[in-house]
Amino acid sequence: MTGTQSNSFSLLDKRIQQYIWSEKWEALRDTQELAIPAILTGNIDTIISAATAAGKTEAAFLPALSYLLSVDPNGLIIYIGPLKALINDQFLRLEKLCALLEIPVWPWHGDISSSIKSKFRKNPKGVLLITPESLEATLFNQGSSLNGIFSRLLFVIIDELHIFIGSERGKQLQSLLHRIEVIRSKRIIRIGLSATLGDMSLAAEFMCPNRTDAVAFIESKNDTKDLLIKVRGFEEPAHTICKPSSSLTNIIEAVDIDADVDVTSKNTSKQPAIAPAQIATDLFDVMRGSNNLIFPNSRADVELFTNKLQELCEFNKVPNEFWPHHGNLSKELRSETEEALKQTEHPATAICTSTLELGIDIGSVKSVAQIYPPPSVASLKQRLGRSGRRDNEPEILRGYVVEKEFGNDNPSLADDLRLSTLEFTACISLLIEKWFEPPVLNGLHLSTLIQQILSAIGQDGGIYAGPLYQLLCSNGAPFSGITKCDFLDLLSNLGKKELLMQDSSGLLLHGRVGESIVNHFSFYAAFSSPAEFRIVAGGTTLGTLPVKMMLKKGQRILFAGRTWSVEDIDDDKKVIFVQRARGGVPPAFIGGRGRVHTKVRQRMYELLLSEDTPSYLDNMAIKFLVQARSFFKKKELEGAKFIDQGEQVTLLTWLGDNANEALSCLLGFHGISAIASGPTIEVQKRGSSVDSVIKVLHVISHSDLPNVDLLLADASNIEREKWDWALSPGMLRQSYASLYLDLPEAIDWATQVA
Amino acid sequence: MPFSLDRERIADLEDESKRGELLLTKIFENSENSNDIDVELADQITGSPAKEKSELPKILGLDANLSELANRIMDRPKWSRAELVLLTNSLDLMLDGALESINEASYDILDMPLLEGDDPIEINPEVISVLKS
Amino acid sequence: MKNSSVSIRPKDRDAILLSLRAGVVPKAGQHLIQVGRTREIETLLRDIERIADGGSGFRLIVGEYGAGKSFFLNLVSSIALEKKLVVASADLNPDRRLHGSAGQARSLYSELMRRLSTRTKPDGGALPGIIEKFIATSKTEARASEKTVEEVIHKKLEHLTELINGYDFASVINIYCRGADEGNEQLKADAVRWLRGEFSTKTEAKAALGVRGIVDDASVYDQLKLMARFTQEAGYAGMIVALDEMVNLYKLSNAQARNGNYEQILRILNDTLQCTAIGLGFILGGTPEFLTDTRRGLYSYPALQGRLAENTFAKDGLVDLTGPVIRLTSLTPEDFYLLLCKIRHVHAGGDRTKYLISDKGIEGFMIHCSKRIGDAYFRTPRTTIKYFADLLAMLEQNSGSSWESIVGAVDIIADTEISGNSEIGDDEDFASFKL
Repeated sequence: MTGTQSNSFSLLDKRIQQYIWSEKWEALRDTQELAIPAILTGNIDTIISAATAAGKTEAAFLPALSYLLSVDPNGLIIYIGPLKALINDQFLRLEKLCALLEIPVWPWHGDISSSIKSKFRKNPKGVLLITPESLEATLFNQGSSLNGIFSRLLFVIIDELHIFIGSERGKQLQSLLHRIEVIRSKRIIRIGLSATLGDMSLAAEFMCPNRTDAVAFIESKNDTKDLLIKVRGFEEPAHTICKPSSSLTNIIEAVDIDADVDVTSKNTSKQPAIAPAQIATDLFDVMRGSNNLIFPNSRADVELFTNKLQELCEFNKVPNEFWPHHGNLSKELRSETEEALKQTEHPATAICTSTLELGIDIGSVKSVAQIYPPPSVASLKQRLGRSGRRDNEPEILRGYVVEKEFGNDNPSLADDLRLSTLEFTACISLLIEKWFEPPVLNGLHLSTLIQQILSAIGQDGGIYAGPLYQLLCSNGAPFSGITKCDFLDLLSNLGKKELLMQDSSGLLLHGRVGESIVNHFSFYAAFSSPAEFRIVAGGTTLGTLPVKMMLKKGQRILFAGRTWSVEDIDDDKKVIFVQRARGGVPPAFIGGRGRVHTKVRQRMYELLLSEDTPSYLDNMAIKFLVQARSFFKKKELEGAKFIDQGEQVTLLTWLGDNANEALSCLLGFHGISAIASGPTIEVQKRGSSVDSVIKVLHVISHSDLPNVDLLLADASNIEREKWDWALSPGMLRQSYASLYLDLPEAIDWATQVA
Repeated sequence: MPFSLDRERIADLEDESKRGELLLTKIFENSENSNDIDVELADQITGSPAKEKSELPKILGLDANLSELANRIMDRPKWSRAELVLLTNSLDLMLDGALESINEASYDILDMPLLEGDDPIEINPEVISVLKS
Repeated sequence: MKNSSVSIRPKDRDAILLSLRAGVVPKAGQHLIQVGRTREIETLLRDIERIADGGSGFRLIVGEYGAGKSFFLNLVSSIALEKKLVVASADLNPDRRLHGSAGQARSLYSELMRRLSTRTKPDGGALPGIIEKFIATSKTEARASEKTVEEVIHKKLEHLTELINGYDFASVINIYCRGADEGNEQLKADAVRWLRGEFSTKTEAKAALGVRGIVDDASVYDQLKLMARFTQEAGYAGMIVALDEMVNLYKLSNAQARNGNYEQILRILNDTLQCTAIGLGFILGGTPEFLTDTRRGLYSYPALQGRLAENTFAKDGLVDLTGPVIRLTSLTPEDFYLLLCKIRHVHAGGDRTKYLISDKGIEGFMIHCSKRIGDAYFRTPRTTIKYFADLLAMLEQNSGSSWESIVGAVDIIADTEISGNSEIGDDEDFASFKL
């Protein structure tokens, strides 16, 4: 160590000091300087946020290991990481230091052998590196020996804290930590490692619910990460049709979907889309030779781009480096991909729909590509975070947007306002400000609660209703928002679905269905791959589409470049039956997107008003932005609340999907057919005037809120989370409303208009 | 709902229970034998502990060795385990087995153990008083 | 209510009252408060006598929570001890089972061996004494027949080597003897450890004793058979294994794990019917669902359903005592009344003049309880009994007071299996929740 001897350095165990010396570190980073004294007390919860991965890890481990050596050499530190690959990474980092200190390190996930696992259980000391799912499995299967395993637990270190906040997995993690504390009858000291966030209190609330005042924040002042972003725009000529190109291609071509062409439109010949091929070419050029991740937003697009990239490899006579991965992949393709990603000799790029598919695992990558706007700022952040994990490596994001050529016949508002580009740009600008979607505070998380109930039964070999409620839902427990009444209703429903049963003394056990589920390895994950809907027209499947919005009969959607009206929805089988919709402006409802937050939509609005051009947009993307702004001005949309479009009225809310859906439900309750559609709400006039719609908005802003059951009476696709299928219709609606309907914001807007 | 016990049922139960009582009493208490035992024991009460081994009468139906041990033990109200180990070794006996055998015999005849506890081991005064009477 | 006027030994009286006031099932003196169930007791008594004569036995005692299964099991164990059998008893739990692959069966076996009891050592820990009795008995036989002790022991142990794993067992006994001769306490202790199944690896056992095998999950049943045989050679009449809380098998969430255990039970049952396990009897205690649930109870295992099926004519009060299953019906208020009378009798040391509460008083107490907690007072009576015993103690302290004046001081809550968590555990809605 050069210069003045740092105070924190001298607090560490001598052997650790030795290690630092021998590794020739110049100095401790500021996060480490600050974290060491806090963590060495052994009773302060700490959140360490920094841009680089390495700085954080050492900031947590150096003092944690030091504490262990001085206070309890047989103690245990648990590190929780989200992915196997990241755990393996972490293991490599710690191996050397811990070998020196003679502290055993145990990587623990699905790939680790059972003999190693039993070895750990016999002597649970040292550092355990584990995923939430493996931790769940441990609690479930080792019920009676848990006290022994956790008796000497000193710290829990949670990595990538920011990706857990608000998600199912995060709720599960909170619950696991709570259950461990109950077993020990003692609090566990938590250390969170997080990316830099705009609002760190969110992280504190997640990691230490109801104890945020006592959390120490350690933020790096000068630890920055370079962020390289480039968004490329591609223009689709006016008369092309975007077709998903998958194995279903043949089917689409067989169906003459142009049979009933609107007589008012010109009978021009349709060409296939060219943007996807252009994007693929660009990707081919920049992605080869390194490991990368590419995220289109749907399975169909994963297959489309993979095909094109693999074709390019073949055409250029180079070995294939591109591998597809999504929830519905055939077994052979899936294992082929997993093999390719595991090996380290050849570069590999995965094209996938999500970072968290069970089984997919790839270590750090060089860059991340996002095709079309990301589902949310949080997911963009999470995806981007897979790159640049090593020091001095920047995070690299390549964005791709596609817009139709200006001036094509029958444009939708989405086309004219270049909503894709706007949305992508808004997401990036918010990302740079370190903002991301905050978790819903009143979310019931019923799906994860169900999983935890089944797990608690496995852990204890049966449990009574009272203690179960106490464990999971009492004050200070992770599901404390559930009332006793609702809890008992939930249990009854789980009984009906044979997930639970009761013996004659009242003890709750797994029912017939419950037992087969808990004995399957997929039980331990609190989340599931989102299913996509099959779009069926006239008995033929047109393709699949992920849909995150609620669906209603009669609404209009855009698919394969055409407008369709929804005739029927089969929630169980995930099928949408459609018919060609003639006339009217194409809807902005595209599907294949995530749920957009109001802040993103507001930022889009601000971008329309501003004159700045962000530096990360390429010329084509800038052109799109300029076109959008001029359209906006020309149509005098600033401050406009609605656009009369003949058969429809488009309400320009610029609100997020939660508020828009809430408002369309309220309108529906009052007899108006409305569906949320991007930043707007599409209202069918059906003979009435714009004024009458305004009048209804007035009524809404002055009425009491109707019951949730009535609001969601005809809504489909409200099952979102893994266990939602097990909820009664009433609870499902309650759950959906709590997480996905923002009624206050909707009423606010209605009040402004009326 | 008014509280009422079914008297007939109680009567039936009592009858049934009586049979059971008899059965169990026979198993757990050997009170019928008590008279005979007194006579036997009177012949078996040991006098001074200084008598030679071969002359000591058998006690509680135990063999010579165990009788000697029992007699020696009854000299004192309380022994530490260590002391008893020495004693039993000197008689070529093992302590736990010997205690077991002595107590078994005591149970058989008197329905209670002669020796109680693990360390110290105490003599049951009731047995002494029965033996003396 | 007339009880016999045989006086009750103070020791027995104290033992019973202490257990009752602590809310636990009495381990001794049960015969003094036994109500009814005479035919069941007679049946078990015949079982025990048959085992003592060199036969075998298997009984499954089935009853709802609160019906008195554990009490009955303890009573039968006490009878067995009186009849000079050795009793090994244990409760199953998630880590202690009849079958396992991660040490769960061995864990049950160790618990059984730790709690091995004889009449003189009814609270467990009788194993060293049994071994020493074996040696003492051998010595006596040797003296009587003019053989050497070694010859006698050798002959006895030869009988053991006929059974599976008998060779190692015999070796360990020999090692114990050697340890006794040489004054080597360590060797004796290790031998006992081996017999209790406390060695978890063969290497340890080899190092300590030089034997090649250990008791592991797979050999538990065979080891029990050996132990039963050994106790006979030591002069006892045989061995009873009493296993309570069989419901823990029912609670296992993995069907494979359950079936492994049920298969083991089938094996034991078959051996009993074919009389291949000599001098060994099993008596198990479980809930009705443990028996009859066709998805996860014993009935879910086809071969067991056939053998354990109860006589279909045995209903409406007719009790079937011919099959291996004995059902204990839940207590009725009348049963409970008589039970309280007996407790009163025991408390008075068997002296009717010393009764602290009248018959009418007992009825009044029952009415008082039923008002507070409804039917639970006699269906799941453990806490009510406890409070009655407390009440008697207080009446003794405050002689002259009436029970009515004191009973208010005793707060009665319903007996639930929920331990701890008093805030929510006591909540009526949760306690009475039905799916």
